[in-house]
Amino acid sequence: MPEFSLAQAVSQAAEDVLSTMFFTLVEEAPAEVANQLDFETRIAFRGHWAGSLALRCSTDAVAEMASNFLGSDFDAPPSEAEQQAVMMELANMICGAVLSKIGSEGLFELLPPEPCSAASFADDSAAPGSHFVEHTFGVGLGALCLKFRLDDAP
Amino acid sequence: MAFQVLIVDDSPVMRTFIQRVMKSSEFDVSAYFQASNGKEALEVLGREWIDVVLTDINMPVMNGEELLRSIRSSAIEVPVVVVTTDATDVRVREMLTLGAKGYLTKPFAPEALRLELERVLGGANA
Repeated sequence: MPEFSLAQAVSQAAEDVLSTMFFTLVEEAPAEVANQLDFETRIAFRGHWAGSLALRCSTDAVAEMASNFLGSDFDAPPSEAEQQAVMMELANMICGAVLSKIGSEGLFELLPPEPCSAASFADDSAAPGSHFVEHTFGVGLGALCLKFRLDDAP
Repeated sequence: MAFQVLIVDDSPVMRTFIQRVMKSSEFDVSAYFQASNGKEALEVLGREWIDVVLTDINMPVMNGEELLRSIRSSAIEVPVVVVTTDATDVRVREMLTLGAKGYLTKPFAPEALRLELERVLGGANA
């Protein structure tokens, strides 16, 4: 798979999910923003494709996205547990959207998303034989960084 | 005519989202029921009249595929709409073959959910 098409798929999937179900517009963010992010989650997948998607997000962005997704009132913002659950659902939807974009004939299975540590997120990188895309978006007052790794392309 | 809806998803925030979207639509829903997997959904279907089921595929305990098989092999007659992130052709065909009446891919706009329900329910609530 050409790296540029995977990058396009990741970028387009994130924009589609955030605008359609989180009512959040995204913009490009400077790379150094990634160092200010502190909310991590990861989802792995297997089947026709194998790999993972890791998200790292600023607290401001998580709060905004969770409020939009859940339709929370301004005076009753989502709890931290709800914010974490929304992040997991965000990872689930972006990952599924990417996999659907890069191949429509192979079955895949998304494993349950789970929180991950900042150190684990930082360790995510390109490995020999894998395809790797990293992209950081500006989301409201914060930012969202995605790391998508495709380990086993057919 | 008011409908009773069962939302099946292991993510409580996703169930909340779908219910919120439906409440903001023009559908006349008299009751919402929720289940976090297929097994819980079958329990609800066994004790309540449900007009339409909205279900995810990937769930622990009993997934959406197993739920569709169970409904098909039972006496329960209820339209099922699959709501999932998996938009691959092979998955769509698989779910429709198992008896799903509708298929909605996440992400979806609120209007897309309304249109799919309208189609599945035959426009009776439009």
